[in-house]
Amino acid sequence: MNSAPKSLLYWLCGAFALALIVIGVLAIIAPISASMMFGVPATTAEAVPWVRLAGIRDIALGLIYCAITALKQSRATGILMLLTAVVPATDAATVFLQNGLSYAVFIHGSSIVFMLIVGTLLLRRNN
Amino acid sequence: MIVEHDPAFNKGSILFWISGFLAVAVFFVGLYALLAPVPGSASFGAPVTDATNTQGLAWVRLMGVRDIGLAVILLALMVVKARRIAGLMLLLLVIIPIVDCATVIHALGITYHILVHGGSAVLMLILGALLLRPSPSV
Repeated sequence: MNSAPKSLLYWLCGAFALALIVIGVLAIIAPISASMMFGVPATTAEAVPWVRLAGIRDIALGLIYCAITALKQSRATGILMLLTAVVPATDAATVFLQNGLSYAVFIHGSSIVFMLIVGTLLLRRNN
Repeated sequence: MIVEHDPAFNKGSILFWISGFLAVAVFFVGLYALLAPVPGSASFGAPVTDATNTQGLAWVRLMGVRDIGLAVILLALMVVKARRIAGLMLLLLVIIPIVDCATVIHALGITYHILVHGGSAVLMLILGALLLRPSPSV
């Protein structure tokens, strides 16, 4: 348990968690525009519910990061960041397969890089 | 403290096995959605029936990988015996089966799928509350 002043990594994790919650809320209240920003536009009636279902899971992931960051569990946060990098990796692959190389692929790609770097730094600082 | 690890949260504990069952079930639901989105979406209760509807299938996969990620998080917390954090996490995650229920009702109306998602919500509430206790007896 680390009671030192809040580090840059702490605020980065908090900002990341909040961003994830905002993205999830956007997917639930405005699934069509959110899916366009994501890079896989959902325009059919059968696709729209699944944007919301993915959105609620983003909110849940954001809440977990929020809770575990607030508890100052830097090691656990690092492990979770590294394990869940599989999510933006699949996002990037899905957007790429759907629409080819686009701006959105780089957004998801930068999430992967962010999670891998922050996750590694969080694990290193405890060793 | 909530963050302390509980050495007794191991395979001698019933709660440990129920958590493991939940994590493995969610993992396979996610894997099913990822690998077979057409039957996966139908068994979930919001079918994407048109196999040429690639955007619909893409979103089923995107939801599936999030389930996998959440299951892996729960398994990781079990490995490090973070019993109370796992409990807190399950209580936070109850919003997922609740929104799942609402989505299925919106897509298909009241069907048996509601029982599955509703059952998950009840299981997660009870299990989460039991895991979060300072000192469990089971």
